[in-house]
Amino acid sequence: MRREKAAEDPNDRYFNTHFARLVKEHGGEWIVLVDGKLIGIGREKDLGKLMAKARRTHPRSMPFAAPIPARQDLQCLL
Amino acid sequence: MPALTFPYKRLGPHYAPVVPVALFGRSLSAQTEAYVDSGAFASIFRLGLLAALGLRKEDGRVETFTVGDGGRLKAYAFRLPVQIGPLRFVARATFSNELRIGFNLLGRQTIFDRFDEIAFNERARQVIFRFD
Repeated sequence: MRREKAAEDPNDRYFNTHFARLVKEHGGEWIVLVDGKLIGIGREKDLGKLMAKARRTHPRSMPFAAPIPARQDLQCLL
Repeated sequence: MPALTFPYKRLGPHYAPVVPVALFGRSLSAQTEAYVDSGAFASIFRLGLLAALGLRKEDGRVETFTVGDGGRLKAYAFRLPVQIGPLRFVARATFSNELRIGFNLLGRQTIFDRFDEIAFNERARQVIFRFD
């Protein structure tokens, strides 16, 4: 069986590296990254602005947007 | 058979099969991540991603799902190009904020059937997508 390990993405790496702190300080908000760089953290209503900033500053890259789970979200996982 | 292997993501004290996913709107695209949930029928993404993709919820088809506790969940369904690893295909994605969990969910419908097998290796903390 041939296995291809998915290439580690810089956005994924940033989110995973800072995940515990983000949950603690920004649980319930959204994070926007591009090319492994933080564009911003904000509420859902701010997501459009953050994505626009990501596309303006990094027009050739696909931005990453993900909800930051709150602590209770992690406790409730089945 | 080729396969894509993703390590589990550490979520506090636990590890979980959370994988990167890209979604494509008509002119905008976005990366995000989703919890691979073999118990979920539909893929449900947070509503905020619609705006990130330049889509309006009014353009989606309103659907109602029954969730585990018997409650009802209203979602907006779209058919969108979805990319996991190098594989890009059109899939049905729904968007809702009523699930009240902090994650997007990757369910079986139109996602799992794009792959020959999706395996969860708990010991190695990996989720493996096998395809031809």
